[in-house]
Amino acid sequence: MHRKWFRLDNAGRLYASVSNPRDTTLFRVSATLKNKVDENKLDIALKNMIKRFPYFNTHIKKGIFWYYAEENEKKPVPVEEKYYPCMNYDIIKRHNFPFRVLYYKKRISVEFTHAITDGTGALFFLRSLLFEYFKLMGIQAKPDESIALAEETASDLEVEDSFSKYYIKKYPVAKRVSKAFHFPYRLFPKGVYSIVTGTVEIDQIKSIAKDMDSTLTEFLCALYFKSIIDVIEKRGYKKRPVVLNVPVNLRNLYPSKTMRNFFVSLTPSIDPRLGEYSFEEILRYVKNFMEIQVDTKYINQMISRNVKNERNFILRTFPAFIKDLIMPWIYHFYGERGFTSGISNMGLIKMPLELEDEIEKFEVYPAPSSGNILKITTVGYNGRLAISFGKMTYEKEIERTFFRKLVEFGIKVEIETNLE
Amino acid sequence: MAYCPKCGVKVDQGGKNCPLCDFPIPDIEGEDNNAEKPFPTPENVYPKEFKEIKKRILKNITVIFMLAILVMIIENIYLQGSLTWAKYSVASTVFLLGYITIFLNFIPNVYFYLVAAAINTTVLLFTLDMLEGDLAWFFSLGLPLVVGTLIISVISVFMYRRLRSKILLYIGVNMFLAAAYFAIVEAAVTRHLTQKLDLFWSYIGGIPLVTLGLALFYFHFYFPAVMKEEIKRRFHI
Repeated sequence: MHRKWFRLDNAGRLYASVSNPRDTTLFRVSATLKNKVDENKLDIALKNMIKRFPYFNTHIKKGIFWYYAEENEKKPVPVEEKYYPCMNYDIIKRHNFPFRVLYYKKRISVEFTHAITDGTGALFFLRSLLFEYFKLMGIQAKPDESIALAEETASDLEVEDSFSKYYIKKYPVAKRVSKAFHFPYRLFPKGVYSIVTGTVEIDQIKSIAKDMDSTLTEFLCALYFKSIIDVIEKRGYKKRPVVLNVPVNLRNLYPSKTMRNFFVSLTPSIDPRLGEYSFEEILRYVKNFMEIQVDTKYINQMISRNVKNERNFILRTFPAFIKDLIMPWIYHFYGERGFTSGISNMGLIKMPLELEDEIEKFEVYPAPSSGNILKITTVGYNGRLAISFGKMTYEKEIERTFFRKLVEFGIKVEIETNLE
Repeated sequence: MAYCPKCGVKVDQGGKNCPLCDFPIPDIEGEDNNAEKPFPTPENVYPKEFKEIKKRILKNITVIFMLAILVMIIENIYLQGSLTWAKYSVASTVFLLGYITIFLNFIPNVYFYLVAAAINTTVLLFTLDMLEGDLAWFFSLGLPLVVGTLIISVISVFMYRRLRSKILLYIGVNMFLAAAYFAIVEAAVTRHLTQKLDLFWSYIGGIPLVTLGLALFYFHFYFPAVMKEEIKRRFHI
């Protein structure tokens, strides 16, 4: 039998090469239900659903030159959660799916590797899985377009490599950023990852953002900037530009329906060496930056830079095991070295009305990374915004400053964490 | 519902420390304590897996070394009729395996590693010396050199931890150590060859080193302003 296969996309190739026990490249999307999870039903739902997602029904294998995804003959099985989030899973191992489905008490989590998809694809999968699960539980709901049904077949558009499609040859590439400020904290031992989630009311935070004439993402970004700069000032850390990695979902800018990676990172940066910044100043900067940068002209430039590097003839001819050695280095010097941290807003999740009574909340956790030891992802659902810090250090001062600032704005914050 | 008095954030239950600032949050309501924990008590299998991998590596290396030893013995007996040179290569291979074992069980403690490696080396030298019939050079040459190297390297590592930020002092200390090592080596060699202590070359090497080390100490604690000015004048860019 001939097994199907496809190439990994631009970001995926990089992530496959840089994954290791610490930087697992796994990020988590999870839904907390109102009732305890029925693992048998979840198992059936997953087995039904995986047929709809041929591009996730794969395992990542190493070719001579590049990693690729090949059809997996095994069936995915949900397992009970017992490890730290996003840890202890080898994405390159034979027959290991590029994702794993976990359940614990009331929660269903799906951890995807960034090598295969980004947050949009992962949420699409989770929503469809939840829909199928509740169908088996006897709750019928009307599916909307962001939910796939088990009976459907995937369209080819979902597998498309949009990076390659929207790559323009001979486009002048964007210039690179220099070394950013990095948190000088000690790392956790390998295999440990900590999550701190603060939940706030969306209406409350949105109205405050609106009063300052900004969007939610801009507001959170500016607040995070301010928190980091305040900590640097207070603790006297060596000053360097603070650069945030803000991924932008390109499906809103390009007519793409792909369920694989399709994002670029914007890098607003503030240099604390230039003087003190007020919150309003930072917010104005972030706002202007976003308005200028979220433009296909500049985005094209970033896509072109990424794809051009990948298409580099010399890099392509290196065997995969050599790439394994040099890619982490490239990733460090041209990627993470230039960022202080990341903040990713996954937007609002909407579920069919019937299911909204069954699902309490959604959460998204960022992928652990030893280069950017602290990252934020936010996701909104049912009027509440979950702001998750994923971190690889015991230090708590950044998230403490961040959440205290939110409280100062009069926003009620509820904290939950996996490490006590 | 409980609030942290310092951060002002809400946590799911009181009576615990604040997840942000570790401030003990009072348990006011006294109920709700059986609230479900949202996370399992996590298990980290990484150290276990890593140990397994190291064990597997050691097993493979052991098998390869055993085969090598077998080949050496057979070849020696086949060619010479009795065990002659193979004694030495077999002993060396066994102790090489010892080094690898020490390295793979590498507890992140450099003192342990140094002492273990020194013991292994001592026993290797003792064995090699024994194989020749009687102990000819082990006590006069082998033991003093190994012990000297061990002491010098332990002091150097210890000093590195103390003086990491004071690089001039650290280099100075290492120069003293090098001078001392010269003396140890020459003392052991001359005692072995002529049965008496006769230091000569270690003075030639040691005196400049000690002087240089003292100079570095001096520059660390007192750098004359005149000289600073002079350097600035000559080297300003």
